[in-house]
Amino acid sequence: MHLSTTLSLRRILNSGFHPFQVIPKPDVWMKRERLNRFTAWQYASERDTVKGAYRKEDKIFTYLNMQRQDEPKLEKFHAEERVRTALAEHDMEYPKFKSILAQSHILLDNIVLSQLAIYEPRSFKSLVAFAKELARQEGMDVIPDDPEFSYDVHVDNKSVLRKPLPRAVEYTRGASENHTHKPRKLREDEY
Amino acid sequence: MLRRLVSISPSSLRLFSSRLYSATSSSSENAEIIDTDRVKNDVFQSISNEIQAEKRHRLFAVVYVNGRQWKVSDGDLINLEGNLPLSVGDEIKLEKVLMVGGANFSLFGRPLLEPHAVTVDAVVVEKKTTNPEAHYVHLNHHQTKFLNWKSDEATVVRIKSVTAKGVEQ
Repeated sequence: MHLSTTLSLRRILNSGFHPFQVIPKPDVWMKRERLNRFTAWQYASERDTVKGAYRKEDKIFTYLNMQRQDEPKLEKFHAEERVRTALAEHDMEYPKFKSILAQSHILLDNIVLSQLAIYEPRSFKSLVAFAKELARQEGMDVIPDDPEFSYDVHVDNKSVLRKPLPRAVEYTRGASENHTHKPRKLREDEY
Repeated sequence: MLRRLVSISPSSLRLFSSRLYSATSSSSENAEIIDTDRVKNDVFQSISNEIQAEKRHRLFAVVYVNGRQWKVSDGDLINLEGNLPLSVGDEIKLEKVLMVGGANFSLFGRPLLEPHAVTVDAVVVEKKTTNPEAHYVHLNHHQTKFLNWKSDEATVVRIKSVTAKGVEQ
């Protein structure tokens, strides 16, 4: 006789539950709360249905992750864009400006330079005037400032410009070499 | 109108605007070096007068702290990454000053200004953890998702004052 199937004996043996009642399932309330924390402000099925909400939540977390990864890079990128724009206002080119700053050992980074351009325009303008004059003395093509608003710059490129300081070494993550291609075998005469 | 003079010395670059030197309006095309030493001394003198005047101007400075440059002024809060070996209430002096500026002048260090010339005082206000940020990995077709909420430690510092002494000549 196969009693186990009929009497659902499998549920009785070693079970903490009542033999003939429905086994309660864990409550979904906590999970839904966790889900709604991010999807309660969405629209339509992304808010009202569980499946849609989970899809949306996945997307939200992916975007949050991308944002976290990109933030430091974006900060540098936007700073450089701002410096370029500010220099364009003063008819100066970014590479020339940066090379003159590097050669005169002024180590302000792009983030600070962009803040100067925005919040301390007169300091920035004087720095640009300084760089312009030196660039002109170095023989680069520079558009001169409007004489009505230009600053009197007294500098001498011989005494100011030096060899740029060595740049900080950036140790990037990951392997230092590309190991996907095997190195070529040495010829006999190369041993 | 205001003219701004730019002068140079081995250690730092001094820029100053003053009403004194409004005689020439030379474009940078035909700019010449005219008695640089005299101009330099004039600029130093003007900056010193500016700094020592009774009516104090608010200064800003660019300092290098904890691997990053900050443009700071009196009363600023800056958020330094990491749990630095400081405790709340510690008073520190930020000595790597890259530039200092005011209403009428800017001093650029090449690369740093002398530590005794500019003083940037700061107090450690708070040590805290930053807002948690999502670190999310979704492996497609594997029914696998990892979600970690990462947060970092931070040290908040308030800039008490940015002061500059007279410029040596």
